[in-house]
Amino acid sequence: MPHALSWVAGLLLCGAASAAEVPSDPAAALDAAIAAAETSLREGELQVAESHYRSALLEGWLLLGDLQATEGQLPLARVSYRRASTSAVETRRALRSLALVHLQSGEAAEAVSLLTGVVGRSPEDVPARRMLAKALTAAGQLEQAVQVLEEAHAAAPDDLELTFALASGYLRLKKVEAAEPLFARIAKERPIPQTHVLIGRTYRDFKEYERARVELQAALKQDPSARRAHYYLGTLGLMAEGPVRLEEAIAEFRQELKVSPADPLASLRLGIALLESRRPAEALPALDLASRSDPPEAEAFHYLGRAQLALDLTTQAVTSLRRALELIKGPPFDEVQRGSVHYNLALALRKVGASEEAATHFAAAELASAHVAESARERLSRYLSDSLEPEPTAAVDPFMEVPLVGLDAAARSALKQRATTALARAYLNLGVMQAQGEHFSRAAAHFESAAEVAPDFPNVQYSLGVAHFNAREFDKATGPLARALAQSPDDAGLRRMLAVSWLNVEAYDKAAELLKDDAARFSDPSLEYAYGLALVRSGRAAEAEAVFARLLALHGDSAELGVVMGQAHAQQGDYESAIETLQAALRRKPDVADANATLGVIFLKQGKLPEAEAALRAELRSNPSDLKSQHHLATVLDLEGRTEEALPLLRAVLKSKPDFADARYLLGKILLAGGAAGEAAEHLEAAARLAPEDANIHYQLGQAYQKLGRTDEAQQQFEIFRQIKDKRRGSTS
Amino acid sequence: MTRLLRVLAVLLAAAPVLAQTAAPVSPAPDIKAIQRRARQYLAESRENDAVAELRRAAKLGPLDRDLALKLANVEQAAGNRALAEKQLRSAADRFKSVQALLQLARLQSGQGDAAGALESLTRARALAPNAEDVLSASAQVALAVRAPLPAILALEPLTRMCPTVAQYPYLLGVALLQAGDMLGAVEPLQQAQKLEPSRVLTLVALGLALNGRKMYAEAKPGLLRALELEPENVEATAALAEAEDGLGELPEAEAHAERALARASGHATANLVMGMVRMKQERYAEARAAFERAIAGDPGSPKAYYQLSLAYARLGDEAGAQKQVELYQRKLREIDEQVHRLRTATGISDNGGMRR
Repeated sequence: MPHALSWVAGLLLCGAASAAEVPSDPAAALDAAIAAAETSLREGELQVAESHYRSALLEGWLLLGDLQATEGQLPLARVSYRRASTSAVETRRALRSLALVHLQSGEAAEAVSLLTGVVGRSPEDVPARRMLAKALTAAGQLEQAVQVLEEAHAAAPDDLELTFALASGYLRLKKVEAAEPLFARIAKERPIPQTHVLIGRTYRDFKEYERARVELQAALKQDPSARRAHYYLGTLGLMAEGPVRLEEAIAEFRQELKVSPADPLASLRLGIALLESRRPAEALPALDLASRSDPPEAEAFHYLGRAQLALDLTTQAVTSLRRALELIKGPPFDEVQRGSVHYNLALALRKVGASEEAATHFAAAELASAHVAESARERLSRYLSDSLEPEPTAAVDPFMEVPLVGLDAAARSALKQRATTALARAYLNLGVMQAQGEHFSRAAAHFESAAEVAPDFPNVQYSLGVAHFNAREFDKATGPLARALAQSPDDAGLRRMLAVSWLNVEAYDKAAELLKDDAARFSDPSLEYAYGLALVRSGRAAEAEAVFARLLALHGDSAELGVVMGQAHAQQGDYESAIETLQAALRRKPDVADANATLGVIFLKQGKLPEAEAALRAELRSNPSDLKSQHHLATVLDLEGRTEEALPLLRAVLKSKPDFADARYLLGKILLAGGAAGEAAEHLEAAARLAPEDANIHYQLGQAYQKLGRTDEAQQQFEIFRQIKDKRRGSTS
Repeated sequence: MTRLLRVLAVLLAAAPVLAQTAAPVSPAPDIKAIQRRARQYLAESRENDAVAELRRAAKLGPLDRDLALKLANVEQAAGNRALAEKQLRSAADRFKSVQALLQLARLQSGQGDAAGALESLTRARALAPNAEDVLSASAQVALAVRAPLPAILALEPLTRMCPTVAQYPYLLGVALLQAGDMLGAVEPLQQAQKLEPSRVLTLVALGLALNGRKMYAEAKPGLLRALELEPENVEATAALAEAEDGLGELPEAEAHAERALARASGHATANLVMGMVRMKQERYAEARAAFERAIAGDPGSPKAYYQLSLAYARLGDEAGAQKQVELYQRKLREIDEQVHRLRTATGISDNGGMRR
């Protein structure tokens, strides 16, 4: 049940719209920012366009956050508000909203921290100060809360809402004398019955029952039909003395309903009071009326179901209680209330013979709360006093501060669609601007954001893939390019880009597959070369040779081609031809990439360690960042017993590529041999995670554990080693 | 005769009119047509012809936005700054062009007119408050004139909006260092270092910030790394000397301070370290001289005044010591106030930590 105090105060004291009232178009600022950005784009004013797009991001994330907060999706709202706070120069609204989410999540300290920053930067922001006071109150820092309100009040003495908040703060500190003149001033400035009702309710909330009664009666004296005056009078006795004052409450609630016959809140309270007085038949019409409120209230259906159950209207009771359970899903929810709904639903279901389902709800009731066993009167007392007591819950009331609560689900869904589309559009255009400036990584970051909010937005996957491709982030390019290709399977350019990406991430088989039927191969030697390379590296050397033969015939010899042909020979075990071809390539172009690297590996396999070392060092002179050659060189050095030289090489390799399993393995093995079993184990564990099917890693890891005295773990590793070996033997036999 | 003379006079008086009416018709130059032609030439890549047309059009009146920017570029490249500025101002005033304002600010900055550049950028920020180029240019101009607060106000949003660009947290850290906020500087500099681990400038700035917080052990590895990358870097050498002095590694501190001073004899940090080394060696007169040089190099640093007061005290000059203590306290207050103003305005860091 929404607490009325905040919005009543806002409405009454500022003449502002209530929280339930929604601005005419919540997406207007977002749309305006997008439109302005696009106008600036057309005019060629890129900086202005960028600025507007960033404003659009701010507005879009704020709107999305508001929608999520309205629907109780607080973790999502938190993310959205955080995104809003990093979208543009302005942070104030985003941080205020984020602080509110923290408050709603019961994280008052975080809210205080955020709001302190906001107020520090924008001392004129009165709503932020008010919210800070709320957060401080929720964090139990009552004195500081009042201090904040006093400062704000001093700066804006005519702000009656602030005056009201300060007076309430004084009441919270039991400084009734300090509160009284402020309330009196409010009553003087707004001499209408509603003011007395508001003040009366506030006194009531802080257990100043007699002062509350005086104010509420003053309201009725001014206007006998003043809304909610009877209602609050009805709750006064219950809050002060409990269920013994039920009859008095029932009378006041009936009076209230004479003033406002359709008031769902008064109907609900009357229905509850009558039900708890064991008068379900009288309660039924009031609860029926309460259940028609918009938005629907879980409590109304809960008590309606109970009244129906008591009157043996079991089928209707089941329907009402099921509806109550549906509604109770969103916050604010109460485990006790949930338990009670489950319990009553279980009773109703048992009555209609649905024993199995009933059992489920009994179990859920038990799980939800032990409090379901409390007496009806205790429950009423708790319900009336707790739920009407706004402190400290008013500070964390999720409905009161959320601007979109007045929208229905369909409107919210449409708004969400508009927000995500606009966000995707803004990100996409920001990405395009970055790409135009050749900042491809930054462009990709924007495209990624676009894809995140709207994965199916036109061109988003394509743009993301191309940006990563141009940034040479091939590992990140493959996913979006593959998705884009799935959308446009006839786009040959896209297909080639994806093939090149696969080639660069060493997924040679996929590259070969994509290039296989590409007709452009025959006119584009680089494409044909890429295809041949993909074939060689995916173990299809024989097919590759045909490709290279064709390339040689059509385009003549080249050092690069020679290297790939050499690799093809080596792959087929023809080391003699491989060495000859690679050396020929080196004669043609001494710094041709990969020739020495391949020679080094061939010599390593042949056990010609000095030759291997020379070749690998030659490769690294022209290509110092070649991690594979560094690793191979470390292997050679290890085999030559020069581990002191191998170690820094391997550490440097791993600094650049921490997920290089072979390098981790070799480093671990060398460290283990040198007696550093602890560090060795760390590297070998990492290697085992990266390459779990490599038997040697498990064997070395077992050795390391053994040296460390971790015998059980060592045995486990030896067992894994044995299993992998057995599996290999099995698969090869 | 008289009549003849009269007729002649009438004829003479009428002559210019007749001449005007008799001359062949020459259409008034049409600025729009000329601009159209310039566009045509640009489309045909006839750059020189286009520029000639643009210059002709500019003499007749204000150009369209894009052509004004184009001509401004041409004039700037040709060294005609006044003409470039005229076109940029025209585009900025008539079309509220942020591009023009940015270019104008660059021009002004290049001419040493920092105030003019800041004014142009303020106008640009009003039109495009969230534009990266505008914020970045504002920050750089502000830093160049040692105005850390406006720089911070531009850089703080940039670090949020562009979290992968190392330059922004680096500059933010530098701005905070300029403002004396050592505590606030560490976090952005660490962020910058994370993004660009081997950038010497960042390593040195972070070392200075950590030294300022007396975190010498944390400062030293980064400074060593900076010297690995740039062995001749004076700032890094001096900062390393300061860290070593803080860690009690006196011979190393002395050696590095000497190395820095050999390259820059007036270097404030190196002189400060040298002074502190000399104090520990009980060579007070030399220490005093080093501190005085440190103050001459950086009159805003309170630490040197404090150390100088100690040197005076050791040399028995109580009045001199007292004067330096007062100066130290005043400098400290000035920095405290500046940092407080900074934090109030930016909300960047809020838990103490001053330059000492």
